[in-house]
Amino acid sequence: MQSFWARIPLASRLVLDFGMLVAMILLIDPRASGIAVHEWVGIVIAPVLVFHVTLNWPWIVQVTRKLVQRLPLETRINSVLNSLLFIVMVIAIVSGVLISQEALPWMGFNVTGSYTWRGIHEVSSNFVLIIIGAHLAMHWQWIVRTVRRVAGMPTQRRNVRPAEASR
Amino acid sequence: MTAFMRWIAPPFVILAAAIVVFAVTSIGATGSLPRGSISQARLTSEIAPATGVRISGQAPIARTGNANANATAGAIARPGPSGRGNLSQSSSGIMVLVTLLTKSALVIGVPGLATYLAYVFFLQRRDERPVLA
Repeated sequence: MQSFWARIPLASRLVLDFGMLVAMILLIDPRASGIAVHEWVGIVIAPVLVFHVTLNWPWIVQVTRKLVQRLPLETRINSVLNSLLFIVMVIAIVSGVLISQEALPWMGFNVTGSYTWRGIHEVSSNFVLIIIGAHLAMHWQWIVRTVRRVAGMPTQRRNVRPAEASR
Repeated sequence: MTAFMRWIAPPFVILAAAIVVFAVTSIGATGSLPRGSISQARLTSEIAPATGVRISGQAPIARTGNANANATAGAIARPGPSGRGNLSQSSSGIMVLVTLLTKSALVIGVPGLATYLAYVFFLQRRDERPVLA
């Protein structure tokens, strides 16, 4: 079993991922959470998303290099799902910024706020939520194993993300 | 992988990818890139923070979907295309938690469960099948 200190990076990663999930839940209903909370959480999640992708950069590089070669179907599905999630999240965040009613005007920026961007924001954010469900599901076994590992409980298998099985 | 390639370059690549996605979306949807501007009123502290309405005697900034600003402007407050209306009014307490958890269970949980079942029953079983020569 790993020492407590050796488990900290993995635990931090779990905390970051869990924080992103909580943020996404907060973003689901702007009417319930309040538009200001919705906008600021949406803005804060952008750098967190960049950090999350950066943390998983080695996997992205490896899969991209092997994309034309033989890869397990699971890895291919994961890479397509992750790319799709990144694209729709970027669209949702940027369109959200462009229709901002509180955060951007507070910062002194006039934004377009057009119906087109409003529609794009709604469609893309609905897709984000659906794909996040799938993203979570594809990594569920990794999450369970990592939680057990961080908690110091014995794990049955090597602790890899499903998509990392190709390495 | 060097420290530069591991930690410095990726954020820039990610940002570049995000800019490309945004530009393609914007041009595809509206035919141009959106243009924002720094509010002059903000520069001279003439915006009321809560509503974004100019308080210097000029016409208020009409912002579609913001009932407060439109009402102040004398316009008819109307909801956005989603019917969201004035989003600055929020419910509170336990109802917020219940609403968010219920909605998240539906919009994240249901697709997640479906994907997980598909993953376990199709992908994992597929991997366990013996490889035929």
